Amino acid sequence: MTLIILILDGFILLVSYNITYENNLKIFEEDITTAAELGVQYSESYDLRDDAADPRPYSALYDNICDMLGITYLYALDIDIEDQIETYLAIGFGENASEEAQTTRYRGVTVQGDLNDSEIEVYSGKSKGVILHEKNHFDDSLICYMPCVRHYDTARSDYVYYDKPVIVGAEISLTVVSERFAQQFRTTALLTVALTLIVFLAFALILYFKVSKPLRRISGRMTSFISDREKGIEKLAVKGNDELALMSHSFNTMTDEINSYINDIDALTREKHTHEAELNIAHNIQRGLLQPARMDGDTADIFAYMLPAKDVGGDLYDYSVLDDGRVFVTIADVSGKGVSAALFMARAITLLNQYAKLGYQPARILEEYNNILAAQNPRKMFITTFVAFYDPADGILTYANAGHNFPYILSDTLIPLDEGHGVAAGLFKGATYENACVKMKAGDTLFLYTDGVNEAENARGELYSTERLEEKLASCIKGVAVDAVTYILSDLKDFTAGAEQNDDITMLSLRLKK
Amino acid sequence: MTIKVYEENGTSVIAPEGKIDHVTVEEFEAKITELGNANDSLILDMAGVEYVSSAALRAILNANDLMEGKSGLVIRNVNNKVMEILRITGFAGYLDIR
Repeated sequence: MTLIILILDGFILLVSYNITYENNLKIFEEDITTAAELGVQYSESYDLRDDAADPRPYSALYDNICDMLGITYLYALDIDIEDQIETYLAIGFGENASEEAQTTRYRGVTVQGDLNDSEIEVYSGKSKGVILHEKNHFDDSLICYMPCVRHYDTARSDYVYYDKPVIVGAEISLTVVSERFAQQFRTTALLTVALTLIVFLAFALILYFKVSKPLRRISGRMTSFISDREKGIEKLAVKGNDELALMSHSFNTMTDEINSYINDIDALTREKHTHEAELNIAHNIQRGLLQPARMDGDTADIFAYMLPAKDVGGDLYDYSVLDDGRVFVTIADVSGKGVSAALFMARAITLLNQYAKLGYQPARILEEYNNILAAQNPRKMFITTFVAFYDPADGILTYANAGHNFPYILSDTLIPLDEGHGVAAGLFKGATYENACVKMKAGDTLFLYTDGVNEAENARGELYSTERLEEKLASCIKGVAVDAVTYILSDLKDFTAGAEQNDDITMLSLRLKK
Repeated sequence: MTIKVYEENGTSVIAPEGKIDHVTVEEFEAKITELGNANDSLILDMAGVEYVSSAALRAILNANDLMEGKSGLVIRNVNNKVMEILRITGFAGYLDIR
C-alpha cells in the first residue's frame, strides 16, 4: 500500500515539475518577448544611430522596461556580420543584472566574436523574433531578439527606415529563472506531499477503525475460543452489512456450530466411556460366572481356557464335583457373540449348574434345559451343549450332546465321542437326547472344545481345522510336558500368528489322575 | 459374497455364493426373508457356499420357520463341510435337505 502511494507521489511530483518548468519557461518567454516588443516599439521614437542625440532618455526607458517586466537585460545592437562585431547602442539593466555587465556594457561598447545565428536570422529579416537559450559571457540566459527597422524622424514627421536594422535583445538570466522556478516548484511539492500525507493518514485511520480493529477483535475471539467456551461465548456485534459484518455474522454461526459439535463429541465420549466401563463390568461378571481355570481334584485335574472374541462372549464351560464324588463337566457355545450371546450364556450356565447338582442324567438335563431355553427365546438363538459325568467308582464317563462338536478322549489312542448326538438346544421344544457311555482309565484325558478352535483363521484365511486338532491331540498321547489344553492353545497361537480372532475360543480337559 | 436369485419352474431359487459369515449374514438374511415373504415355496441352493457360521444357521432356520406354514423351504446341493455342520448341530433332522 505504502509503495503504491510513494510511486504515485513520485509520479505527481515529476509531472508537476515538468508542468511548472514548462509554465515558467513559457512565462519567461512571454516576458522577454513582450520586453523585446516594447523595446522595439519605444526605440522607434529615437534614432539610435544618431551619435549626436542624448542617449539618456532611451537608456532610462530600457531600465524601466527591465524593471516592469522583470527581465535582466534589454539592449539594442548594431551588427557587423562580416567582421562579427556587435556594437551596443543602448542597454538597460534589471534587478539581477550582473555587476560585471553593468560596468562593461554601455552605449558604444563593441564586442567581437559573440555573434550568434539567431541574431543573424533576425538581422537578415528572416524572422520577426527569435528566442534563444544561450550561455554567454555573463549568464545562462533566455534571449529574445527582434528587429527594429525604422525610427521616427521629427523633421520629416514620419518614420524612416534604417539602412540596416537594429537588433533589440531582451534577456532573462536563468539563475532568475531557476530561482523562480525552484520557488514555485517547492511550493507545489510541499503542497503535494502535505496533501498525500493527510490522505494517507485519513486512509490509515479509516483502515484501522473499519478493518484492523474489527479484524483484531475477531482474531482475538478465535484465539480464545476454547478457553472462553466455558464462560460462554459473547457473540460479535454485527453492524451494518458490509463484508466485515458478513464476517462477524459468519463467525457467530461458526461458533454456534463448533459449540454444538464439541458438545456432541463430549456426549459421545462420555457415552463411549460409560459403554466401555459397562462392558468391562459385564466382562468381569461373566468371568465371575465361570469356574477357575484350574482344579486339582482327588480323582482328576481340570484345565480350562476361555477367551471371548469381544469383551463378552457366548461360550461357556462349567465343572463341579458332586457329593458322591462324580465330576461334572460341560461346555457350550451360543450362536453369535457379544452382549446378547453373553446374556443367553448366563442363563444357560445357571441352568446347567443347577441340573448337575440335582443329579439328573445327561440326556434328561439337556431335555429340560432345552425346553426352558426354547420357552423364552424371541431372538431364536441356539446353544450347542455337551454335558458329561465321570464316575470314579466305575471309571465310566456318561455323556449327551446337543449339537456340539464332539469331544475326544485321549487314551491309548484318540477316541472321538461322536455318539449321543441331539439337536442344538434352545430352538425346538420337546427335542430328545440320548445318553452314551465310555470307559476311561487312569491317565486318560477328556478334551472339550468349541468351534472357535477349529474355525480359527490365520492371516491367509486358512482354518486351523479338526484335522490339525486331531493331529496335535495325538501328539499329546505320545507324551508332552503339558496338559492338552495348554498344548493345543500354544499350537493355535502359533498358527493364527496374531490374526484377528473372530469367534470365542474355549477348551476344557479333564485328566484322570494316574 | 454374492446372491443369485432366479426362477425355476415357477419357484424362486436363492443361490448365495461364497462364505456366509458374521459379515455377510445380514445381507443373506435380508434377501432370504424378502423372498420368503413374497413366495409360497422357496429353494435354497447351497452349491456356491463353502462354509456357514452359526449366524448363517440361524438365518436358514428362521427362513425354514417362515416357510413352514406354506409349502416349505428346500435346501439342495449342500457340500460335505456344510452337511457336517448341519449334522453335528442336529439341524439336518429339522430341515428339508435334498
